[in-house]
Amino acid sequence: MTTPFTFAGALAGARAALVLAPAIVVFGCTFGMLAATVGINLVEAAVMSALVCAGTAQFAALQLWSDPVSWVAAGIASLVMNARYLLLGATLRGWFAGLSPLKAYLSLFFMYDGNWATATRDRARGPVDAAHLLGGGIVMCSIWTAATVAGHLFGALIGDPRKFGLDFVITAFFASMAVTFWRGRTDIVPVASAIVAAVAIDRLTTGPWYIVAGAVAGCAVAAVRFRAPVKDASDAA
Amino acid sequence: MRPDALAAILAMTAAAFACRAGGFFLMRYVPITPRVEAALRMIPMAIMASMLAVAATRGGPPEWAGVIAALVAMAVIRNDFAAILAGIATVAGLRYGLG
Repeated sequence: MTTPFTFAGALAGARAALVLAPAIVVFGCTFGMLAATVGINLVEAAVMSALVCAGTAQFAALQLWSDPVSWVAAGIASLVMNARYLLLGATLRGWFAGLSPLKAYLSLFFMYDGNWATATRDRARGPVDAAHLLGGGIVMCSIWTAATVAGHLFGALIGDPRKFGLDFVITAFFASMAVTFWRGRTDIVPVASAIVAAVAIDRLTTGPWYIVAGAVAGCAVAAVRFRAPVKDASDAA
Repeated sequence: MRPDALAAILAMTAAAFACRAGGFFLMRYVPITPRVEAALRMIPMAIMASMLAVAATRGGPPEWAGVIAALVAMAVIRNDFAAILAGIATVAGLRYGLG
């Protein structure tokens, strides 16, 4: 079974990602503005946003930026902040099974929380073109990079985005996703476990470790509670 | 571009790609049994729930109300744009009203 990988599919992914544009603009501008204050020049900030394209990792890099900057420290910060993508990527194995390695890994280079979420939501409804992720990712990365440049250039002119609730866009987006993903009673115990683990780890650590903790707890509980259909015991592990 | 900055950016890029591609790559070696599939299917919901719970616990009444407004708007209207609008309007309104 080969999943189609077409330009139309990429365009659909791009359109789905546009709902996140306001949030990306706000965070990108904030990053550009802060990058200027720690001594990252315009070209460096733009190249970092285009290549790394990971908000949390880039904000972490700002904290450890110095002159000269340690590439080891920057790399480790990026590993820690992006560890959650291991779990996101793992869910795409079946969808990308028929793709060439070039298409699959190029798409994964452009995998972010937002386009992964829109693709996963649409896949729950029916077959989705495999170029959805790449299309959404390229749009998101372009907006992120342009916003970084704008923030670096005009940072001082931007007011406080919190006043307009713009820092809440991503949370509200994930709330809408959660409603779409909810499958009923079987979700209650794994979701409750995820929430307890995430809140507990968030108390003990800084950064996005809580996402890893919540995801691992949720999927471990789902695996333990899994009961194979009685007549289908042959392929139950 | 300074060489140390370039090295740091490339290290960050490589680390980010290792995370983005790593989970997908490793799943080649994990047989997808129904139990593994049940675990993988839970990841999206667990991630959303974790983000919402932590956004609420890190925030105050405006964020709690914002999460509830977005959830309710989505459940009723079934449109992600409307849900986002309901969430940020609630948060902005309450921050203005309470702050």
